[in-house]
Amino acid sequence: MEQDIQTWISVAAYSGAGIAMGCGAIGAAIGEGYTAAQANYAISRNPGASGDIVKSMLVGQAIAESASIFALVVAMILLFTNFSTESYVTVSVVLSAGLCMGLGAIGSGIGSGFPAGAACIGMSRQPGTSARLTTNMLIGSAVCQTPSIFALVTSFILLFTNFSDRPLSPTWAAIIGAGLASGLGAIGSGVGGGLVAETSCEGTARNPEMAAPVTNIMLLGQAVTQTTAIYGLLISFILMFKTFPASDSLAPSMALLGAGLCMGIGAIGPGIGEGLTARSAVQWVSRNPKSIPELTRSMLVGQAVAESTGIYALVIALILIFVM
Amino acid sequence: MAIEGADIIKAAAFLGAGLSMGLGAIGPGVGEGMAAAKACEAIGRNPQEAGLLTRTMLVGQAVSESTGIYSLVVALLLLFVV
Amino acid sequence: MTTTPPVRELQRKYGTQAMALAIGISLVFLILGHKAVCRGLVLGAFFSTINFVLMAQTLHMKIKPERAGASLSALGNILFRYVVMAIPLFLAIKLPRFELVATVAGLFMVQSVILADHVSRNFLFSWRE
Repeated sequence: MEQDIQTWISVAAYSGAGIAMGCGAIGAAIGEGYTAAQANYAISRNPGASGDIVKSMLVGQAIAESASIFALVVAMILLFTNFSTESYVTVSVVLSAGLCMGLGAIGSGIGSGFPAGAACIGMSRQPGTSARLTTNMLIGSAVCQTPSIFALVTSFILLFTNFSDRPLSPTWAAIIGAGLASGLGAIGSGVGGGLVAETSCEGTARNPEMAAPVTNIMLLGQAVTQTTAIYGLLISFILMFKTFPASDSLAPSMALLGAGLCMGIGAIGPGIGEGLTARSAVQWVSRNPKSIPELTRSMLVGQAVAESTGIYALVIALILIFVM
Repeated sequence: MAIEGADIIKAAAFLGAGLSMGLGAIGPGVGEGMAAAKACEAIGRNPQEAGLLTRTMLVGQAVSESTGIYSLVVALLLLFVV
Repeated sequence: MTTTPPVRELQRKYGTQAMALAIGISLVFLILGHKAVCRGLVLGAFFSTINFVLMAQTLHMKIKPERAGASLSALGNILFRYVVMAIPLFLAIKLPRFELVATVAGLFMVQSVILADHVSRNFLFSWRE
């Protein structure tokens, strides 16, 4: 049974589009559903503030939805573009672009639901702070979207770069690995960043005078949480732009695929862990403003130690790419 | 394209090394984050004991780090010894 | 199909601002001579606004006494909204009259306006208070 290249490219593009939109919808659905649930709870607590709460719910959901709109964009490009090449590398390129965007949208969607929910609850407690609270929520959710923007960048580079002159044998694995590294690596940072933003909204509502330091420490904690997603982006850039010599054996391909998987999966845990750490630190900054220096220091030390396993994954991925 | 046994073994070792370190990083990452989260909470409640709490946090994290180091060692063994 | 006044006010504000921003940016591109960018941006922003309006307008239709009906109508609603957002992307991919990247940027116009509005109100102009 002989199939030509064009058939295989269509198969891969359609599967990639399905993965992108299917996985991409998971995160946004969980995040927006969480927001709506918290908004309902908040309205039942304080029906008088329902106008503000519904407004902030809508605004929060509009931001939380952007990750799944990224996925929609990639899925539509995969569905309706004609990929006319003579190389089987394109098959892995379109599949990897879909995988990358689909996986990358999960974390950001879930994460940006947390601050929106916390903002709705906060408004029911302290209706006076709603403007400040909405701003804080929007900044937190927008930072949560950055891992999915990394995934979008990777899949756009995959789609719009010409890989067809590369040798098939190790390149297909490098391309799939690049997609997995960026896509899986975005999950942890997205969820972690959301956890940080959640308590910062809660803290702003609890103690409105502390809004500025709470927002600053939230941004610091989120910045550290993003680092693992940046490692994933780094590995996928190396995998995409380094040219690998052609080889007939299976080992070099598996080394590159393993590097992508290692960095992608390895970034999930540290991302969530650092998010948990920063979440507690931000929570106690608003409750106990006098201990800000101690809290910031111990947050950064704790995050640095939690980061170490992410660095091990980076080291193994680099060894797999450059030494093997 | 004939694939020999040695080639398959090498390929599996590389893939296994990646998976070992990748999956092995999830647990310690989340666990150390939890330890640090509780330490931050305690420092927030009682800032005077910050030094003692940070030291305790580091000891706890070092212990939960050990599983991450095991995966690192296994990954390096798979890469360079097998 | 009625919405509570504050929500409609919010939609009108962000919808007009998003369209105004898109038209403003596209005028710059028109002067520079990139007509496709200009068309794509306005197209994307238009559908972004439609999506944002639909998001709230359909909230009432989702409220049903029984759970199955509510879940079904919510699912249909989401599917409908994503199909609506797919239209400009489809047009931009198929027709060279619309620049794809500009259309994608236009699709996020409401989100950028929301962010810009809150950030500017609370940080840039805080010295006025």
